[in-house]
Amino acid sequence: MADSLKFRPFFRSASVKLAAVYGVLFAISAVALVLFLLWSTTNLVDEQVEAAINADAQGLLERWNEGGMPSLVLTLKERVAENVDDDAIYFLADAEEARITGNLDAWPAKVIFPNIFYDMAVTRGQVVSHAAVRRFNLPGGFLLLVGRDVRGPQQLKRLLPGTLIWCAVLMTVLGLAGGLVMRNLFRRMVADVSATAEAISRGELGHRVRRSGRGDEFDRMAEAINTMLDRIARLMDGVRQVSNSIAHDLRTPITRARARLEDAAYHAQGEPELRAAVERAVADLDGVTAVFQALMRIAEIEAGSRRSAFAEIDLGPLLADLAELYGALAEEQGLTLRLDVPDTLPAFGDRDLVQQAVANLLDNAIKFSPQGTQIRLSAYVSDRKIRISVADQGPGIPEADRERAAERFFRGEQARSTPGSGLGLALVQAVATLHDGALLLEDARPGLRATLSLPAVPPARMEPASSARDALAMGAVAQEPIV
Amino acid sequence: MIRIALLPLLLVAIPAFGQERPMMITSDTPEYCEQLQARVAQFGFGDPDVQRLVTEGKRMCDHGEIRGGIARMRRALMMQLKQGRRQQMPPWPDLPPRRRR
Repeated sequence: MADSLKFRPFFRSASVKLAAVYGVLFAISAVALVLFLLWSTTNLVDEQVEAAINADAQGLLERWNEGGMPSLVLTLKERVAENVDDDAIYFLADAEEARITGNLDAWPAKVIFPNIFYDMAVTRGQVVSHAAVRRFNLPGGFLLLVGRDVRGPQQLKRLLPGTLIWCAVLMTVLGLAGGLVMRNLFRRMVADVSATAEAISRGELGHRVRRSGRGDEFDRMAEAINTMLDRIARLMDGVRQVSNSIAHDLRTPITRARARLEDAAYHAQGEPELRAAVERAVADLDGVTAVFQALMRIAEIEAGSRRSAFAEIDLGPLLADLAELYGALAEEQGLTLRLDVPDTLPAFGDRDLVQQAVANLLDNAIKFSPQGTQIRLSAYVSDRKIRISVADQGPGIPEADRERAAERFFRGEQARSTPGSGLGLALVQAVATLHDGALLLEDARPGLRATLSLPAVPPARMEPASSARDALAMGAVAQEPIV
Repeated sequence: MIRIALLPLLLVAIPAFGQERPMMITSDTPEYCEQLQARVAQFGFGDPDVQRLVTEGKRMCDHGEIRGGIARMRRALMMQLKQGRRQQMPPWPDLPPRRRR
């Protein structure tokens, strides 16, 4: 009882079952192959013997037709004499089955019907052998028996099953051995994956599945699992970093608002002073709300739910309207905004999101450009992608920071002194990813060139779409940039 | 009780009774060896290889190695036929009287 309990987990093991299934399938295949070989070989041997008898008889019947009985008798004698293989059997008899010629001592009693191959025992000297024979009825009631000694094929038939059974046994043993090898491989792989999962659940997030280095399927699976774990680790780092950034970035305005309110409560000289303090605190808290709204919007974009709202849009008019809107703002800052965009630029995506992304890029450019410089908004199609580029002549982003510039709350050294939450480029990145596009930040020498790539739509597919100007007129655009 | 005792005998006897008598091949006999030798001799022993095969065959047949002896006689006959003597083939010699074995 204890033994059966001990072995139960062994038989429940998936690797044991896999090995057993593999072994059984291999054994069945081996037995089927052996049976097929046996059957086909036996058939082939029988067919060859029967074909030889039929061909021999055909020749003899021709001799009978050409020269009658004397010719046939002579041919039979010659064939017996010339039978170097010593396997031919002939017997010519009259209607009473009495011997005329041949190399059998008498007509075999069992050979009654023509067109049937009979198997019969024959003796050669002291040795009993087997022969396949066939009866042919000749005109005049004469009987001809033609046969072949099948001792050789019989021996082959006798040897084959034994040989093939041994082959089957060997193949089955090899199959079982293969099954065991597979079981061990499976167990080793599963054990490693299991150990990794357990380690991660214990909090050892750096643990990874080991690779054998053979480059096989197990290695590829280990790589896939490790890539997944790396990605999860990066995401967790991101979440941790965002949480820290939220705590850090929001603490300042909240603390400031609290300090203002406290100061007003204790030191305000009258209602106007108190009201002004409250208004400043409300403005600070509005900034906090805006950050939360931006975070929620990025999260919404990253969730991909807005993909269902994708449509064919024309970016040409949309970018022209944005240039007009931000041109005035740039002018106020002493900057020049140049537009280099074709009239029509068909794309497939979410109009509002693309507009917000480009607005963020323009807002950043205006914010960081020194007076008297130029900002260039351009767009062109290349490699079936629409590339919308905003280039300024500001301080740019150092190469070391460019990779992280699109992360949430990331603010470079030069951006610390300017207002903003560090979410603008994160939103542009989210919009690009949602559209299967990309955000590329490059050195414009001097300044920064931010390029947003989106998939283009061939002009033939482009349907007449309302321009951004119409949308502006309907009040559907005009979203605040996230900076 | 006696019937039960005889049952094994009966079981042994039934297959033996059902077995067919093996037919005898007559071209494996010393008589046939002699007949083949006489047949080869009808063409003459011009070729030394034929002579050698016939001598070997006869010696083997005389020593009871009938099938080996007959095989050599047949090969000797085939060599003669390959040398184009089938056209001049005389009628088969009469069988020598059958010896009692």
